[in-house]
Amino acid sequence: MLLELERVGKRARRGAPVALEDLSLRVDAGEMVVVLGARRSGRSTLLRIAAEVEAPETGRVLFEGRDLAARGVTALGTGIGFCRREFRPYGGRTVRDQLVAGQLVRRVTQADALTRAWRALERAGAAQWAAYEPGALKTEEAMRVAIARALTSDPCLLVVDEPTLGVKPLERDQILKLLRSLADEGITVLASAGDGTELLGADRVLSLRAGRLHGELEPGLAPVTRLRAIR
Amino acid sequence: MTSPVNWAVLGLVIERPSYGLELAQRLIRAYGDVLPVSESHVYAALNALADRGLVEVVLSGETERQPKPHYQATTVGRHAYEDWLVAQAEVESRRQELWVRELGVFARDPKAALRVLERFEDECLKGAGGVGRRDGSAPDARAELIGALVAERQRVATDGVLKWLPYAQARFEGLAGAADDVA
Repeated sequence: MLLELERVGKRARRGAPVALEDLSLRVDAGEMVVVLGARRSGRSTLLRIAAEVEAPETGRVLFEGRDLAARGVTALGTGIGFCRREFRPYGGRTVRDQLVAGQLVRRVTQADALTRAWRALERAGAAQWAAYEPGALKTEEAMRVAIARALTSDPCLLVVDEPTLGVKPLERDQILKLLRSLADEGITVLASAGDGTELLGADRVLSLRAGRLHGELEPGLAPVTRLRAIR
Repeated sequence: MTSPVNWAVLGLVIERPSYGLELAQRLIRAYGDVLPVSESHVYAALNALADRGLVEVVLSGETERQPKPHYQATTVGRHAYEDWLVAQAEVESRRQELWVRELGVFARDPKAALRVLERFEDECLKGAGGVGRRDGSAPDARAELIGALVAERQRVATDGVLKWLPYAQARFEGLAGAADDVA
């Protein structure tokens, strides 16, 4: 099992009125799982916990069978790609610079970082915007670039919060097909959606309501081919 | 006229006049996966449509020894077909109402309703990712258009149901809570 959330909980508090209750979920390698929830349902919190960007208050998260918290390292660069939409102003002027800068902090050499950046941009269908400033991109273009940035770390698990938020229907399906194709290559995809029209390609759709997950919380019996070597 | 096969045949005749056997082949190709159709259905449908003046027979291939009867839509047939498509809005609305009324029998047993809704939600979630996933194999532009329209229609319908479910669940949970208080 690639990712396991075991009885994960997070209390509601002021400023972040999201409560997750005793939530369990298992995700196999090569699956595309989408968590559907309304605004403030806790879907983003759940994804941040799954990506180890945020810690749960109760329960634990296992990645490749190991407790993420106990590993004591940042998840980025260790197999989990958390897709962020925001681009930091100091991360570089162009899309390409941003993708390179993100890797340099992980001690990748400049030349290697550049190669990886190009490869990831091409894979995400975003190479044509490499020389653009991030602020000049349309919503769907920025999303492809964000996916590319997460791919630079060669993740086994890609976590994407609302990949199609604000994207027009035709481009929406293209982005979902991109995520599906990544899953077909063996990169597990865990995404969220605020709308039932944003579920194309998912192997499993779970709904998050009142802090609880509904749907198939375990992978199906069909074997999933694991194409990407797990580190 | 309520038979969906009759309307499907009328639609195909409107799309392009055809003779019987060709229509049967087109019907099976276009609707075989969603309607139980066979060659004999086509002739029964054509008779029903001709009786109502929705299609007419024209003889073509006059140079041939045995000219084939071609079926083509009348003006009345075209209008009737468009009206029928529009009227499906009402049919869909009634079908949904019927389903909700059937669920409503559990007003006095809200826990049963909640069980049904939970399972219903699971079923909706199960199919949700597969909608519109078939693609890339459309043989022509018409098939591609229909495939895309069907997929989007189903996605929006799924979204509608999933947005309605929390409301229905909250209402039945309210009833269940009230019943527990009384007990």
